[in-house]
Amino acid sequence: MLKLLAHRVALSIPLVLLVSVVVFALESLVPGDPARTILGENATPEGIAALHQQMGLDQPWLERYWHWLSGLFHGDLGASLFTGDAVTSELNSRLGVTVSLVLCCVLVSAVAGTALGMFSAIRGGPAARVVDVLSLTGLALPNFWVAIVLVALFAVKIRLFPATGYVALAESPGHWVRSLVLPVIALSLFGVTAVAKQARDATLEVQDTDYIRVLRGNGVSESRIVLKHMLRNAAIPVVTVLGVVAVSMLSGTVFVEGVFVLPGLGSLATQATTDHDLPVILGIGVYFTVMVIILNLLVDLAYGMLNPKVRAS
Amino acid sequence: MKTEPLLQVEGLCVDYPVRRRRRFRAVDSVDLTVAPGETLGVVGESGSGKSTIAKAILGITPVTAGTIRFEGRELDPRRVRRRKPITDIQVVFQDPVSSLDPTKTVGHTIAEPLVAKLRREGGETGDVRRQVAEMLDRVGLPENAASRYPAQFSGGQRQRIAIARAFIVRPRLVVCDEAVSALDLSVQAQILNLLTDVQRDLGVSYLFISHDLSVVEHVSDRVLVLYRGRVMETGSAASVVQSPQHPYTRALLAAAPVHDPLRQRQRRELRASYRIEPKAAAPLGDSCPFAHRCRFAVDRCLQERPVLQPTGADGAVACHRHGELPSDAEDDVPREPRSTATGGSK
Repeated sequence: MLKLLAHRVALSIPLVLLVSVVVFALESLVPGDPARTILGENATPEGIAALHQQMGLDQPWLERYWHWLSGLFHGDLGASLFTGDAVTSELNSRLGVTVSLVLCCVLVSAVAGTALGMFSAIRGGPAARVVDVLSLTGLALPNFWVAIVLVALFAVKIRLFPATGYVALAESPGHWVRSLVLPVIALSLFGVTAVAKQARDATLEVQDTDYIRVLRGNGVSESRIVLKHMLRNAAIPVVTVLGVVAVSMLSGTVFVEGVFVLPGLGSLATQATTDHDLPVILGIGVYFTVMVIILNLLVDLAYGMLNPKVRAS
Repeated sequence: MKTEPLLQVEGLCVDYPVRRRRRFRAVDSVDLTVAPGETLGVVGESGSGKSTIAKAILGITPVTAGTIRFEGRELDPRRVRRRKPITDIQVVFQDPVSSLDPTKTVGHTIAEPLVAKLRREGGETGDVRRQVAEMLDRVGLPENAASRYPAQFSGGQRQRIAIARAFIVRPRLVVCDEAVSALDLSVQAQILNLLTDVQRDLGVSYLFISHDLSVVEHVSDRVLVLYRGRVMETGSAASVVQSPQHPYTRALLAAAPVHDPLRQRQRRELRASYRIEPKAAAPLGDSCPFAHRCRFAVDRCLQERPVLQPTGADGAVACHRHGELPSDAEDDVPREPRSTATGGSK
């Protein structure tokens, strides 16, 4: 297990570098210019050139990248081109929002998806077909559209939950939950359906094995068969899907945080991109990459715990 | 009747639903008995209903008609659903991978049926660990196997684990559904010897299902030959193999390869002589199920369903032309040590 951990961490270093190069390259392709954005419509060419020099944008691409990279090794991601605040402090203040959103979504997807999928597989019949159809529908609906519909229904029409905004967990747990309900539903819909489909297929497969037949034939209680044998075996493929779902949720936060005006990393990414705030964009890239690496590591660890074949080798 | 049979199946019919509300009869009016301590071999090709009979006896599949008696009591055909398990009947399946839960240790897998039985009967479960160790020893696995996972064992070892799990509850009857078919030849022999050893020690009966007549002959006292869900021939293992009465049994015997290349070539010619251009399979109504593939078929075979008629000591055959067929042509081929049988009829 430790070997696996070390191996993964070693692999993640080149990954972070690669992501930063790609982000740097992509950003230079985005039309627009931060100096022009700051100075507005009536900027003079001289003014823009001066601001470029001030921000270091006149230096060649490679040099700017090197400068940023050496900062990264000191834990310094530079300062925002607009606010002048350190990128790390700005991102850290928003990290909690995105992490709570993604973790809640992963939890909801895992629990609701597995429960629905196993119910559909074990129960069969019309009830199962309803679950299957709902799953497919959930897979087809884009999360930003679902988000808008949820706001219209539960925040504007019924006024059950706040339409926008975020309350930190430390401030008020009750309000924290209320502020996250709609975003979590919108964002985890895809996860729930993807996990449900996988859990259903895996359960059907386990249900058709001879060891389940032997257990039934010996009168082992059904709840024991479902919880100790089916769930355990079906969990292996489900965890794999959950890892993919969690990563896709990170990109989903960009849309969902935008709709619900949550002050997280995703909404900052949108804002920084339109502003051409390169240090902030790069910082978000690094944070997201690290989060993906951690998520994958957790999946590998869970997989190792669930599957004795992995543990043995 | 010499002794009360342990298992008695009468008129067993099993239908499987197929598309558009039609039904397919997988097992058609099968009678069979298994005496205490006896091994009944069931042979037949794929789709002949062998495994369906096993499932019906185990209560896994719904029975359309017929009765299954175990120790004189009629079994509830829906006993698995109704959670009234008969732990006196256990099973060893063909696939050594799917028959063991990969996430549970071998000790856990073997103990679980016993624990469930003890809980149901209100017994003490303290002794389970010792019984598992004893059973592992009996099936020839090391003691530390209990704490390992199925993935760490070979196919033959997994089959030993499955046998240990079946025997831990001290059953009276064990259904071996192609229990050695997935193993290679040397391992097959080991497992067959293990099964006969355990039978001798614990006095259990086997319903031994296989498509391989030579394996069935090796372990069985009596043999039942199935084709398209019907019994074609029954009898003692020696008489069915050495003097097969039914044309289907003969074809089945001729299909099994032998070691001697010369004999194998002769058998291939023999097999070719049995083969006729198969007509479309007649619907299973009032006809012999084998008629469309039978060299000896006459009009009557297509119009009337043959019933089992006694052949000799304890055998029976379902063939209209029984008694008219030429003796088994294989007797013309010089045979190896195994003594030549008395041949067919006449």
